[in-house]
Amino acid sequence: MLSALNLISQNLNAYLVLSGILFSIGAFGFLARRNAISMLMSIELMLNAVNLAFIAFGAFLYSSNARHAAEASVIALIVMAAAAAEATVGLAIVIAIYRNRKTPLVDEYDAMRQ
Amino acid sequence: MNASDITAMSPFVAAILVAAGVILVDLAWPGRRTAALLVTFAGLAIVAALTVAVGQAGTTAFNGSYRVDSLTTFLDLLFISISALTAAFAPDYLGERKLPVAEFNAVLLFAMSGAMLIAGSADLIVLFLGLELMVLPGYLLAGFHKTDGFSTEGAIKYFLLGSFSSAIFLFGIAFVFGMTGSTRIDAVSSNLAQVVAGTAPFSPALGLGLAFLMTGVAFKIAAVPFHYWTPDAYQGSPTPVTGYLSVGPKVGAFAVIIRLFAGALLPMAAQWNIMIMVLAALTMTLGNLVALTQDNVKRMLAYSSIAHTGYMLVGFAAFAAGQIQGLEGLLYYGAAYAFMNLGAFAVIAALQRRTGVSSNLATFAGLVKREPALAWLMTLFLLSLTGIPPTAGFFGKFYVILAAVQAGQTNQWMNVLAVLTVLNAAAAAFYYLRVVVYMFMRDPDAEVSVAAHGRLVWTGLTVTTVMTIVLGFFPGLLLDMVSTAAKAIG
Amino acid sequence: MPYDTLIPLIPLLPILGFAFTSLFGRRLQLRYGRWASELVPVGVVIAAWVVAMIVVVPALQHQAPFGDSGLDVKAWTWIPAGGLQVDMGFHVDALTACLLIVVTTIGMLVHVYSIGYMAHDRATWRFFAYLNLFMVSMLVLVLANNWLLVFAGWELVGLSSYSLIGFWYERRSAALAAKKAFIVNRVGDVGFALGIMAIFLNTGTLNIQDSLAKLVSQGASNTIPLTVVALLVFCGAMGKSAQFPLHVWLPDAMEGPTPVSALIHAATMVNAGVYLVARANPLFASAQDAMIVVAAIGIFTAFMAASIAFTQTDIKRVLAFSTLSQLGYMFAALGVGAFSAAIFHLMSHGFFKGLLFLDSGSVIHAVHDEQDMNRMGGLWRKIPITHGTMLIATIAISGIPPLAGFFSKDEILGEAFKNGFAWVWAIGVLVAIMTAFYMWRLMGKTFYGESHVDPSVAPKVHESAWQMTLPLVLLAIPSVFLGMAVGLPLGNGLLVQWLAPVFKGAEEILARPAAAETLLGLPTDTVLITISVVAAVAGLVVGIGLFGPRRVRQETIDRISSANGVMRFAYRLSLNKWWFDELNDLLFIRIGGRVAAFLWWFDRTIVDGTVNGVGTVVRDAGTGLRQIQTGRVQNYALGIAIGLILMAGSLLLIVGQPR
Repeated sequence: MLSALNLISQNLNAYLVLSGILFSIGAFGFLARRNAISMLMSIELMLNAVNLAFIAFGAFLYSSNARHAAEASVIALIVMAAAAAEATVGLAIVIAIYRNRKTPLVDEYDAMRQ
Repeated sequence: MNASDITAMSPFVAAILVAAGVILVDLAWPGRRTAALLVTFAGLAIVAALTVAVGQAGTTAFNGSYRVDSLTTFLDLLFISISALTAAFAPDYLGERKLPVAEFNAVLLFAMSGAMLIAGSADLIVLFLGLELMVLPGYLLAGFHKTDGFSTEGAIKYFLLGSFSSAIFLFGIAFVFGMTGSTRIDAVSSNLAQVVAGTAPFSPALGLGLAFLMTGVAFKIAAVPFHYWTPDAYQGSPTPVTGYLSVGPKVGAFAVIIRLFAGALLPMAAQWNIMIMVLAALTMTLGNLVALTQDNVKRMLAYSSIAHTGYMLVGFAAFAAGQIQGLEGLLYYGAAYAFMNLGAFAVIAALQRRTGVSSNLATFAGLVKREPALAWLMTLFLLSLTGIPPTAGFFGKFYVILAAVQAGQTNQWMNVLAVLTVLNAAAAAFYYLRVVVYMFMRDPDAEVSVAAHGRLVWTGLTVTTVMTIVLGFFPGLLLDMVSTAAKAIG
Repeated sequence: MPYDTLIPLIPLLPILGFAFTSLFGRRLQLRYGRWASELVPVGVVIAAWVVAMIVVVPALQHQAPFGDSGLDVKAWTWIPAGGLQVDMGFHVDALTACLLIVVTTIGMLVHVYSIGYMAHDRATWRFFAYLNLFMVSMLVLVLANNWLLVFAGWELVGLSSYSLIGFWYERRSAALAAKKAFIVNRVGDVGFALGIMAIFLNTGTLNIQDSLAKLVSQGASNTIPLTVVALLVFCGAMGKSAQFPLHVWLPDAMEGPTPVSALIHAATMVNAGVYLVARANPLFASAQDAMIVVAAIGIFTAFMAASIAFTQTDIKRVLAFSTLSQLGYMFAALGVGAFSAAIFHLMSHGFFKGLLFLDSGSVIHAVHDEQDMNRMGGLWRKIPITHGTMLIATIAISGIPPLAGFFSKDEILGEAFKNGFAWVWAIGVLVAIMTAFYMWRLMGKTFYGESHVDPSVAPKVHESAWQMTLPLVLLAIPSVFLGMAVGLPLGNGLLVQWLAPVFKGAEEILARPAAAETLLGLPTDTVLITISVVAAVAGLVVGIGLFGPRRVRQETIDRISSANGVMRFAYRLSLNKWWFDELNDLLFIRIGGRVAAFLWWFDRTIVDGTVNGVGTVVRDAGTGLRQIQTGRVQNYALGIAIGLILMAGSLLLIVGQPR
């Protein structure tokens, strides 16, 4: 068991697959959820999946070049900051439309179409 | 970080400072429109002056992650012009609706700084940051009329889908980082060149990365089939914002395309250019076809902006097929489109100054009798959007098609694209002309009162008009700048 | 040289007039009355005419600095070098000069005429602004020295004609007609734009003279075959000059005010296509297949339109179809290689058709906006000047010597025969008969016989104001004398000499063998001229017999019918108008009517239907596509996801390909 985990943790592809799965879950959540807040959370999940990919790449690239690892970590931090900004803006907009429409369900926001 | 880094980035820093300054001024003298406007325009002038001054230096900064070249300068000046014009057109409209002008300007300036960051980015992460900094204020602007259901609805659609596509885009960057070991644009480019030459290992994940990146930018420029947000966001937004959204983020997103695809990913042009060509064909055709059926002028112009994206993509495809003129055409088109489209939206915004005036075609009925100046100006902008010579819009199309035809000598499909562009341009005339017909050949159903327009609006309209005409009669003026800018890449 | 400033001045003057009138016209009209708003637009056009005449005279005579090849004037470099340099430049040679004469002269007269014609309209300032804009576009088109500028003029002509046709937009039919004109012209424009692209691809330049020389010298080694290039250019010409099947807009365009019909749809805009083909003559000469297409479409249009003109009752529509028919002649001439004959006909047609339209306007004015010829008749005493000038124009268009139409039409027919296009000649002669006939039908129904004018209007019928009659008289002069002035000696008149250098290139390429000197034992020319004259006279006689002024009066009939024998026969002959009615019935109503009715049906249903159908299909496609915009974020996101998957799939395939 432990050896299997050890094997996986030595394998870049495993992290990438995990990242891919997380990203897909996020994307699915975005497609399937009707609540604006849930969709926002799904996007956060997707961004975290990307962060995982960055970190994994940084750790494994060219036999763990330290510079790459550091670079990837910084990128992850930057992405988190961007995600936080995005969430702020998003919540502000959600609150604004909630005041107008009294519902957080996005499929009821279809006054404009075609 | 040293002094030269700061010097290179000074226009960007200045833009941020001006934005913050506007907020501070509003804090000190709440509700004083004049003060905020003064700071905005003075600040924009300073930013423009800095851009010109720094542009002559031509340097990289921050360990090669930020670059100032002729392309940066050109794009920065374009973004500054777009923001200045938007800031000129908005106050009338906002004031009537009791919306805060100072906040609007601050948000607008932040968006501009994001676009400027894109223009100067030499690193994919800086590029991403610039993109986010450009679009996040854009969401706010779309929902700026927060008590209006349409405005907020457009904003949330724009925001949700935009964030979704940003995540996709970022995932693409992660792949490129993983496959090439760097986020620096020139390093990515040289690594990819080795991959293409066969001297470096190749992974199909690169294909995935390309797809994610392309989806991300295709969304931002509103290319079909990633355009869905455009009509709703444009229709819902306050009209001056719609004008801004249709040019600012669009040109900004094209800056992303140029920096990313023409910079970092150029060695793989043979692989991704097919997709660009397909996107271009789909985008202009669908945009035009659906625009033909619209009765709301804002929505019609939204679809037409999709079509214009298609034309610009044709220029980019020509560049990717080996014609530097394609990039020149794209940049020229971007500038011409910015002026004529902002002008058109400014006229709509002026008509909608009174609350409750819709942007339906009926609003335009008999305009020439009520406000002949606005009617003739709108006609000029629409003719330019149609591409009737000699206007700025004609030369945009002309250069793009010219480049496509020249690229067609090596790639047959580019010829097809050129012919398709001509056909689309011909079809586009009808929906633009419909507005002209309403203005000149219809009488309004009911008596409409005429609203006065502020001096800022007239100044802005004069600028857009002069640019639309001058770029039609003397395209050489801009062409020199454009070809210098294109040389930074080619 | 002063010409360097004079030539740009020709289009510049109307530009200034347009700008001034569109900006200040409304204010002037409200404050000082309509004359104030009309002063500038009419003044600039007269000034432009004066300048044009100063330029035209030396240009036609190939004097310095024009010379044989014409004078190039560069205003500024429009598109700076770097792959392609295009000047904002003008080129004036004999061909340009011929067009300048027609455009500025008729343009000027129409402006003057409009003062009277539009006197009862509300927004005349707008009308004059549009007219000025039209003049600008047409002059730019004619003067341009590069394809791009031609295209600019081409588009602007379409646009300004749109606004003029739809000027009376309160009438729904006018708005629809304007739209149709625009759509159909757009089709032609696309062809022309593609043609320009093809020319650029082949030669790398957009200068007209350079590119033509290069196209010809490269011959078969052009990237895009010359036949294709020529046909694309011709496609544009077909749209503007209303040749089958792009002719549908012209008859409908008669919804515009009559001066517009005269200016645009008789004398200038529709000539643009003829000018274009003539300008590109070396190109067409090197593409013989395309020439045959041009000839065939031209002569077919001539025949079809003439036969439709038989049965129309709207006076302007008859003239519209007649215009189509005459334009068909011009294209037939271009197609058979008789370039100068085409330009000759263009000029003479411009004058007499312009006159006919202005006359018809004067008639319509006189009978208070009635256009149906069945509600006219017997007008000739009441409006003598209109009648006299229209009579001249009718004789001219019928091809009776020595009026203008005879010379130009005869030259076309003669050249067609001599260049070996006997079929074009034969149909052309037939059309000549038909032309004379339907024109006289128009005259008869309008001016002679009993009056069918509305009794309430009849007492008020009066001759038009001097602003309207003066242009009529002035236009009648060239209709009479133009042929004699520039058409003699036949086949080698002044005009042919003037135009010779322009068409030299084509003549050299075509290198036609000299035609047989004699035909049926007589000199070929004599035979051909005789046939054309006989044809014209025959048509005229039939027409006069049926609709002429000397219809038999009732009392004479009573007196003669009581006589006997020979007299009775003569009477019957006369009463029955030489049985022309029966002949007419058989020939023109039964047979001709069927043909005309069929062609009319074909025109309305098939051709028109196709034109409208294209629009419908496009619109339906748009309506279908807009359904995907459901308004729901989830659906949009799904669309994006599907797009992403497709993109990823195709890119994986492309990138994964072995390199």
